Amino acid sequence: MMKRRTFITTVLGGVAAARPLAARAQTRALPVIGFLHSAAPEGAAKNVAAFREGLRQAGYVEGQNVTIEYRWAENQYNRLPALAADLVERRVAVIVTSGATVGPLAVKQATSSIPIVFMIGADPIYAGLVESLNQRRGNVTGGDILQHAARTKASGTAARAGAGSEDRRLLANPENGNIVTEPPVMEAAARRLGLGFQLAKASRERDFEAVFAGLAEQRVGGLVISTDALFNNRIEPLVALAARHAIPTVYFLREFVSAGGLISYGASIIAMQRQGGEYAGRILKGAKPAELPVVQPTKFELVVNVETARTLGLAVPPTLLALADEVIE
Amino acid sequence: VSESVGGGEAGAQSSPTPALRGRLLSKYVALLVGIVSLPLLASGAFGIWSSYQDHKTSLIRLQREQAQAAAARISQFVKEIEGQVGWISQLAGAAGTAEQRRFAMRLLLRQAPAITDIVSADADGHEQLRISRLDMDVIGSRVDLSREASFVQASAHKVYYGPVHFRGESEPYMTIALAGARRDAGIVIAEVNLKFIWDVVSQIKVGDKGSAYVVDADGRLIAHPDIGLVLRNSDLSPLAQVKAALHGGSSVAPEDGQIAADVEGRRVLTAHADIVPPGWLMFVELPLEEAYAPVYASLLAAALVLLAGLVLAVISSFMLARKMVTPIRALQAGAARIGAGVLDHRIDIATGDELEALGRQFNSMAMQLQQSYATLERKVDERTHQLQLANLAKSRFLAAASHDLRQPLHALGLFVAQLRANTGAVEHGNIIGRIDAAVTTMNELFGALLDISKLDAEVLKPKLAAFPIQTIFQRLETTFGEAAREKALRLRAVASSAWVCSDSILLERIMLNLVANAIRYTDKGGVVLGARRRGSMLRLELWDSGPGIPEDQLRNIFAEFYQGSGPQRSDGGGLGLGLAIVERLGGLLDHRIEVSSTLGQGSCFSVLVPLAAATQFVQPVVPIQVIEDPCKGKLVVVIDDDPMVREGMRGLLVSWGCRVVTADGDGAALAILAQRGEAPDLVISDYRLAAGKTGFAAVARLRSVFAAEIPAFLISGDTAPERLREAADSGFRLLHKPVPPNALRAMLSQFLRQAGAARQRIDTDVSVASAIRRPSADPSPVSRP
Repeated sequence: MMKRRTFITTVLGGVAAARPLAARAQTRALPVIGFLHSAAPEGAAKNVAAFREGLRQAGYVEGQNVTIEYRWAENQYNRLPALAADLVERRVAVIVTSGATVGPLAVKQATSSIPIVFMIGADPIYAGLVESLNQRRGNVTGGDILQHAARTKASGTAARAGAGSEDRRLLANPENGNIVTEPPVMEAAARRLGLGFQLAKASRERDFEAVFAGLAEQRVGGLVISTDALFNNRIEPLVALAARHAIPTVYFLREFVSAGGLISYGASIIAMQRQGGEYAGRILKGAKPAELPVVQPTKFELVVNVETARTLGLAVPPTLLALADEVIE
Repeated sequence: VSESVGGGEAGAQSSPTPALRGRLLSKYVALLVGIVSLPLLASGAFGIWSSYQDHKTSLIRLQREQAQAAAARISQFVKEIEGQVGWISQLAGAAGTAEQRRFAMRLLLRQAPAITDIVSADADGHEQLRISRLDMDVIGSRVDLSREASFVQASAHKVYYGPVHFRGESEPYMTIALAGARRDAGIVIAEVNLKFIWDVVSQIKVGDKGSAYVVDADGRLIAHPDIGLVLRNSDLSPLAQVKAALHGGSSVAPEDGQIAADVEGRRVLTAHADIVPPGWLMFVELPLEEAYAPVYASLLAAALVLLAGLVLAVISSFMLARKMVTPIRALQAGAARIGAGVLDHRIDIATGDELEALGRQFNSMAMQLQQSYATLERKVDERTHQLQLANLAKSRFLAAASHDLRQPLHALGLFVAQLRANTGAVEHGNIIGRIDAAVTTMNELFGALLDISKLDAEVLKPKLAAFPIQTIFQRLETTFGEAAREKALRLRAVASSAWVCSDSILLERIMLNLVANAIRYTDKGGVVLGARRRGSMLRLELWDSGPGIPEDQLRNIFAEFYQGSGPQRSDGGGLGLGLAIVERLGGLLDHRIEVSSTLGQGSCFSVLVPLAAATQFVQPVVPIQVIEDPCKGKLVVVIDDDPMVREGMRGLLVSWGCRVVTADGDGAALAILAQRGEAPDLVISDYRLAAGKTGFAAVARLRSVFAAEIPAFLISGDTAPERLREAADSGFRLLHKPVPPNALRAMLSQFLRQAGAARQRIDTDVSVASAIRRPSADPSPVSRP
């Protein structure tokens, strides 16, 4: 993992070194966006690309008329406050934070003047980021993927989609704030369907193996992967573990299903990243965060991987297939 | 005259001219510009105004139409959702399993992304099925919804549109409820996320920077291209246009587009339309500057066209005015030049109108002026030439006169020398006789010169009267009888009974000269005098048988000192002044004098005299001469500043028996007279005395001292016409030096004889006329060839 990170840094550094001197001199005068992410750059490339696309829609192209200072917490959320303080110290024009609510909260604590754009999966009001969605004051705005709102539906889906055992699990990151909010919702959904529920925790990738081995041992009938920067960052290992242990798993992001996951239900993280880029651009142009309401997704997609279901030996009901927004064969 | 008048006019014209220059042009320009520009401006302004109004009206209409179209699209959006929900409601009443309905409803959620929740309830209002995007499906909860507005309204009206509410104070939602076709079908309630209207609204293009947005019945923003505004839960009811539309209601569609501030405070042209259902308002707003950009462009274009028109009008007016003024200025300048005396200046105007005619008239006027000026100059030249000729004639006259005077003077000198040398008595007597003759000749010459002078001075005023011509004829016969006999000539006057109207004395003088001439130049044959009637005139003719006058000399014979050639000249008989006097007298009396002649046969002089009716004519009785000498013992005062003249006069007067007192002035005379204590019987004074005094004054002084009209006459050597005129005006008789002793004696006798009468009025004309008349035997010699 370290090797890969070094490689990317080297590539980025090489690109920077290849820039002509005049252009580099010019960059000093460019506005700077501080980009703070809870996860690691590898596995977040699509998200960053979406962010840049949103920025371009607002009229900013990295390296041409805007500079982006990237700060990665490398999935170690306790590093976020220090990184946030660093960006604030650098007096960047706007700080965009993505991932766990720890990030935006750390930035909000570090500054009340630098505009903050968050891109999270949690409820921003509940997390204490904003007072209201329509955002009449403060320096914080952003978007969420309404995972907190859709989780009931997803939990229900997950509960229903299971097979075999009537035991259901939720995998959550204890370092993420949603460790408090998510489990009760999941439990309630399971109870409504008369299923059992327990919480599984993982805060590091190296824990994954053990967690899945345990779940398989317990013959868990279904698993929901909660929305978390670490999990979203490590899609392929999680999908692979679910497949290896033949645990029917439900995700919030379609990217998991594309990678071989069973079912996903949720909004598009790509759209949110794009929205974040657009908001950052608008703030660079002079808009105040108070003028920019918190954006909520309107589109929730049900994606089913028939192939995975077949592998798992699950019979996918025709109605589910009919209702699915995308069916991956 | 023309120069002074012209100069004066030119001066009078030229001084105000600079001040007036160009005023006509500016007046014309102002007038024409006004005439052209005012309607142009008025029509241009009206055009601009009406085009502005038209454009504005069409703009507003367009925007209203756009608002209506947009409203229709929103309405359609709502209707589509309603239709989809309606399909579920139909399904709800239809036969089918709950699972099938649940599937249908879930499918609906997939197909209609704006619907977030859908609930079906039975006819009693119990919830049968609830499907949500975010929540788990709820089946058969039988929650009582019968009191919900959605259920009540939908049951009553088949369809219900709930009020817009904002979830989380951010996203606009609306509840749509529909009742199934059958009474027992129940109702379907759908929650619609109105954020999706953004898809519609953001596609409505209003100009470049305009926007279309939707507000609900309370003025809250439902849809706006800037979704942020919607999510911020904006209340637009404070906006003037929204407020007006909300209060105006749907029935009152404002005809006028409104101009108001939009949510960002920009000035916009706004129009709205109702969205029915669900009773919202569609607003279409275009920034004013963008909306009016074409208006302003067209205004600018119109203004430019107007400006161009104005400039054109001004230029053309200026040119037209110049065209009008140029000929007038040419006229003015031409008139000024002509007035300044440049008469050959011609005004050149080719406008083909009245101005050209005026220019021509000026030209013809100038031409006439020029011609009359030339005529005048020619006349002046002629007159000058005549004057020069006259001067020349005068010089010739003087030269001739002085020549003729020298001859007797020369002779006198010779005779006086002989007298000194020769003392023989016989010889003495002969010489005195010759001196006498020379003096006589000189007297005659001076007399004739005096006559000419008088005639030229026009002091003679003819005194016209009717008299028989025969009286003159008789006298002429008597006068020249002797002279004719001496030359063995026949002189005959044919008797005439005609009366003429003339001055008898002056006419006789004419005839005397003519007859004297005829006798002088005729050597054989005779001279015949006669009269013929010619209409109202009498023609007096004098025929002679003399040598005749060459035709080329006929005019010259009337010139002074003209003397015919031939032996007659040598006898010293003529002075050459006779015919000159005749001509002047003829002119004075207005009698035409004619002459015709045939060389070698003789000449005929004729005088045309107007006939007069015969009246009683008293033959003047010649008074019997008193034998007694009146001079004897009379006291005569002689005043003259020349001592020689005084001594000559004293000697002569004393030899005639007078007592004489001489003095050089009135003062000296009075002193001597005072010594004598005696008043004079007669005063003879020189006309011009020493120290600027005149004889008039001296005589007047003596008369006043002695308080009596003492008889007096004057003697003068001065023949200047002015002097003659003064003398004539004074009433004194005047003798001219040299005065022949016999003339003096006659004058003396006449005055002293009349001494009894204290006052004697002397008729000037008569006196001068009688002075002209010579003793009958001694007529003025008239020279002739």
